[in-house]
Amino acid sequence: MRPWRLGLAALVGCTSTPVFNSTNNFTRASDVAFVCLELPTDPSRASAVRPLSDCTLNAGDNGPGIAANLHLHALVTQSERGEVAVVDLATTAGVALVDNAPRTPGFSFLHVGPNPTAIAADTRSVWVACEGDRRLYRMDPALLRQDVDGLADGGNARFPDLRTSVALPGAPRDVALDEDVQGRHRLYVSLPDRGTVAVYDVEEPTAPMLLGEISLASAASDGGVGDVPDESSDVSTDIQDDMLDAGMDVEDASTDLPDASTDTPDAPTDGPDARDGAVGLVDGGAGSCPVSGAPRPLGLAVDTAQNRVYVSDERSCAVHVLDGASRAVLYRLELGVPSRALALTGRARAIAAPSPLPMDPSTVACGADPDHCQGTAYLYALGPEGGVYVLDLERRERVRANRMPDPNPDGRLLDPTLSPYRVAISTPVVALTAMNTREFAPDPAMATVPCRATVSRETCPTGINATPAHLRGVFVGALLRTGSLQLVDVDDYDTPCRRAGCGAAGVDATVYRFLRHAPRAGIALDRAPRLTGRPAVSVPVTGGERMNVGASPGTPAVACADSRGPNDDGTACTAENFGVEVTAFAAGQGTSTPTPDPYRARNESWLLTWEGILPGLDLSGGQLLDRTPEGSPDPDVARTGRLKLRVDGAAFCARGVLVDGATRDLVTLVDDPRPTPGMSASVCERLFGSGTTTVRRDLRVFEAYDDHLLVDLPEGLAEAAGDEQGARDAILRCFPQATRFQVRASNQWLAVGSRTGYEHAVRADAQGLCVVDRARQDATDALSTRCLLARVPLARRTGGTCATGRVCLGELDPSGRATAARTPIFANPYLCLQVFPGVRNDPVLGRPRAETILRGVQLFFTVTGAYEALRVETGMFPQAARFAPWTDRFYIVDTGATGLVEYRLNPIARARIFN
Amino acid sequence: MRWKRTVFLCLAALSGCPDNPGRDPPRDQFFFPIAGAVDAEGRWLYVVNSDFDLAYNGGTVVAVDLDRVRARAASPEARGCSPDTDAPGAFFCDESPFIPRPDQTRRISPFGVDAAWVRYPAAGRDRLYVIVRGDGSLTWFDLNRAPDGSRDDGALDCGNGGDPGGACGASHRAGVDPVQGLRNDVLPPDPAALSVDETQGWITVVHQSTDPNLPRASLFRDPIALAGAGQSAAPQLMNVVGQLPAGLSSLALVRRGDRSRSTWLATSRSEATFTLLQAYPGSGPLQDARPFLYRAALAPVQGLNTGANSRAVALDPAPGSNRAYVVSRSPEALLTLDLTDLNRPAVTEVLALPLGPSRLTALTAEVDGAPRTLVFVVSYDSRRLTVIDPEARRVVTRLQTQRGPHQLVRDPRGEYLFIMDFLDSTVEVLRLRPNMAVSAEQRTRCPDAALCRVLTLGLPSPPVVNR
Repeated sequence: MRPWRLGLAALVGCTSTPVFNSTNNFTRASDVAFVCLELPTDPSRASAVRPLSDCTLNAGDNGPGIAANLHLHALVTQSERGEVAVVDLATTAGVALVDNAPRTPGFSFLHVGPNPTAIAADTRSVWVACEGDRRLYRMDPALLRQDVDGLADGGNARFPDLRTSVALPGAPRDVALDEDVQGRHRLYVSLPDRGTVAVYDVEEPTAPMLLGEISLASAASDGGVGDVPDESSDVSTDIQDDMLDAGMDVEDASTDLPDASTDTPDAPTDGPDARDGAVGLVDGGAGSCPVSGAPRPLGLAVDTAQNRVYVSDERSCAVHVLDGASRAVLYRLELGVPSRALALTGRARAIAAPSPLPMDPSTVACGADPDHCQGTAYLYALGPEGGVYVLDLERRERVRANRMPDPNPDGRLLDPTLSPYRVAISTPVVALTAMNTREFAPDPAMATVPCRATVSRETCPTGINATPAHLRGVFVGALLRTGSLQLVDVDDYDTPCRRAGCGAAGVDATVYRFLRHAPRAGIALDRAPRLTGRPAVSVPVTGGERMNVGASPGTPAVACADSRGPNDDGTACTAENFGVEVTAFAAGQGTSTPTPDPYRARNESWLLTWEGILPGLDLSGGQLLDRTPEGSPDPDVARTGRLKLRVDGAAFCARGVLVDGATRDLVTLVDDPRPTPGMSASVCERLFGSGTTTVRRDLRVFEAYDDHLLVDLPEGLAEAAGDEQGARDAILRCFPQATRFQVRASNQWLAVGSRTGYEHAVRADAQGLCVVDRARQDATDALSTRCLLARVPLARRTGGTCATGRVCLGELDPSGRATAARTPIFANPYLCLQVFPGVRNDPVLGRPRAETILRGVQLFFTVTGAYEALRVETGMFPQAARFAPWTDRFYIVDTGATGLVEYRLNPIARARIFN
Repeated sequence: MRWKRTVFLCLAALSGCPDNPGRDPPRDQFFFPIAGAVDAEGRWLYVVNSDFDLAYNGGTVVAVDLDRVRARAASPEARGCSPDTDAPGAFFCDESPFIPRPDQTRRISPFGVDAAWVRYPAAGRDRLYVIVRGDGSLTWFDLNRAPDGSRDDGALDCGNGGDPGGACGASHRAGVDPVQGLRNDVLPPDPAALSVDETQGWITVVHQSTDPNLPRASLFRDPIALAGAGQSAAPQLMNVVGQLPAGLSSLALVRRGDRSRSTWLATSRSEATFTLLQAYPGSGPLQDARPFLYRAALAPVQGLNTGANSRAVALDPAPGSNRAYVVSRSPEALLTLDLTDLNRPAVTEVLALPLGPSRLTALTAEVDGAPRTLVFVVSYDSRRLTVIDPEARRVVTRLQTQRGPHQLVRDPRGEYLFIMDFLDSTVEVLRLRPNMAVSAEQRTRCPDAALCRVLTLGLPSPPVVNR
């Protein structure tokens, strides 16, 4: 029935992504493996199993590549039903799913046990580990396409060799195939609950023989097969001893920046208040080592050439390395975090010899920057909360994947919110897959590298299209929980062509450079980052609306020149980026003038709001107090003479409320008064207003704590109420309940980036008092000393630096001009700027003065052209990703409705969906 | 089901419905059971029958005798029940013998939604609260108490005037009459869930309406929770809250932090947000005795694709845990939340669930000799109960249920789990083994397996179009 429907769809010109079998036969697909089958001419006969390299796919119609009867098949586990679905990936039309019981309505798949967790295949067997019944199932790949009707026994009556199973010692998680030095086939199964890896001899595939369990609790090279896992062993001591024995240094943890939260700052949002809270380096809990408890092995990765098995452990901060020959723990690699899954890359080439091109990190000797120029195989590990970490298998050390390559005198991180050891992907990752494309060869010298180091635009190799979407080399696919995939560059064979701009049009200069272990850039990076237009000014109008205003002498403006006088509306600005300095390349990268660095800038929109609301501090539930709930005087109120605004869980310090010598933030009461029964409503109306006419609503913060603020009475309230006590009584009785309030930056611009958010340098001390975090503020100050040097050299500066995350104004000079020298600098890792106030001649004063800035006035601009990671959309609920060698395609298992999704490389694009 | 309701309403209108009292519901049967609650001793299971097809003139609340259920579950003999071919060793049994007090079955308006049992020790009272969409009320019951105040085990009093099987009186239906409310409010439409803080007497209700003009959360207070309240104290509607996310679907009371403000975490089935609601108790020093509910915070659901259809939430019962679990339909998964920062719940894990997950419960079980939190999730569309170990991030076991499993209720004694099967109008009884780690062989057999169905109360009776 189905083929004619597909034909009809073709006739009507269906051009969307082809979906084979949209009846959604998959039910919670979880993992995938591949086999290559030579199809017999008689469908009732068994197939012949061929090496995977024999099964390529035709680039045109996705049919068989080498020979018509050599078909690549995907085996997709169905976790809910305990089945394996067989998909013929070389189908060009009609049905791709193999129906193993055609006489039964619908598609029938091959039965295994309940809840299959992993699948692995070679030319001899397909192995499926099932957690539900703790069994290991073996299927004959030659029989995968057979009609096995007779569902009661899963077809075994007809094909006794189709499926066999053995009991496992425990619940399995992952399986991996390997051969030992004698060529005997081995199967490894991770058993998390037992803390062991079971090793099976599968030389006789129908009779797998358990050789024993490798205990991960044992010391390196000390444990052997059959050890009972010792749950009381001190793993951390063993790890340290192993590292010292291996000549590895135990890293000084104090130099490490802790992992940030799992927020997704690279997801653009609209407006400042859409981002709740500040983004900064915070303790994330991930990376707490050592982790208590017995080892819990999860993911496996096999290096067949070295006869090594790498084992992740979510209760240890090290990866275990097993020796396939001795079946023992050889050593452990310190990762710094527990790990869940692993991906082993092919060997990358060392960065090429010094290049004549500027801004080329390869001019640095490899020994000085081994994190980026070392050529080796890498082990990528999936850490807790979805972080990705990298191990250099030659140095046996962690890689500072997030650190920019040298020259990097300030230790700049690609993503400053993440640890230096974490790959710059902030969205949680759920799966990893290594990709060695067709050009790869185990010996890097033998790799088919299309672009040599000496290529230039004039000598671009014919047919090379070196856009970011073309991948030739070694990469790692990171599947994001939000339903997309990012690609991490390990070795890009097209790097010289990208530098030269091969395949791109209209390129005059390039700022591109290759960053190993960084997510692949989604754009060509052939222009310096820049503003999209002049910063705009808008003012609030009634009803919550805003109105853009044109430039005028009276409106504030981003400083574009050395000074601004009374008649200067700023439209004559000719400075690059309208006076905003986008962070440039570090010194020593061959540039004579600061050139905005796409890896140091960030694509985002910035909103500077005068007395803006701190993100996350527009809250309800605030209660003004002068007494405790029991009725006695509040001690803080008694000590300071102020009122207390208490909000459980407000996290004022974490949200950046600032009280220092120069700044005291404001609290604005938003709700209309709700008088207590004993309080006159008309008095509240008179004192505080209501609706759109409000008065005396600002309370200046005297002291800020993480869960409460001590605030002054509103200015003028004591006079209006008669005396200070009357004022206190009035405000407490007019706003007695869970009041909505906002905390605002006082007399400053609040700077909020659509991705960066509001960065601040405030923390809570041991008593919960909000204090300036000197380290962070000093870092901001240091940034400001490196920017805007052409406009105002350091020696001339008197304005200082603004508090982190805020833009502040300076004083006019004696001549009535706003000058760059007197104006503080706003600096963050991505840009620097100054803001001049509007300046007008005051006829009363007889001299120029700075215009008062209305609360809510905004300056807005957007930076574009910066590095941004390439993202490929997947399904809603991705679970696993696998690269199919020799086809240059990878497949993503989406456990939701999408099923098995195929992607091509060169260029990377979604191809087909099988479900 | 909506079209059925329309059909029946039209037919009722054509037949001159206002003069037709309709057919009284049965007193000892289940019909579209939608919610359940069990008392602290595990003596009675109160089942709310929703009358979803309007076959009768109201729904009911029945009391199921759990001692009888346990006795029957422990017996391997048929004894008037029929074998359950889908679950070896299990039986289908008519539910009537397990409802020994049909005289105490109480009629409520159709479309009951949720229920909660609460004990007030100071007042010596047990109460049952049922949110009813049909009449827009919080219908409440005094339990185990005869009209003369003496103890009567299994009794339900909802102001029905002693009428066996009678309808609950207006005195026990709060939120209907605006005069009764503190601020002259009535319960907004489309209630979805309720949660009770028995220490303060707060009863919070969320509403799943998508009309932006309608309130979506309500607060009642039952003064019987407070010292010195009279025995006849009744819940009173304090206030309703608007400008909340649409489609609020479930609530969990967060019992930590500052206890002067009860706090609830609410999910939405329409928006990718979590809402924090708090109850302001008033201010004694300011002589302000007008409590109200307000929105304390909104937090986006981040770190997964959409997250805009959350159906149920439960807190991790482990002492000191900052985790919560959410049933999501977009994606169809169990979400683990980190509530360390209550204002910013963070999704830390996402585990796939069978199609159509609806409700969950979390309990502490012994797994391989150690206490572990296990999460039980029913999937309405796929007839599945999935047991998940969130710490190990794996499925412990799966079970096929009867049709339309909607609500889960734990047995306080830790022995059983009860599932309200909405479509089949049954209540399943599942036995929990104290040690969830059993051999692979044992997993295939019942009743020795870690979790298995031992009884189904009621004979499966799928919805019929014309009755």
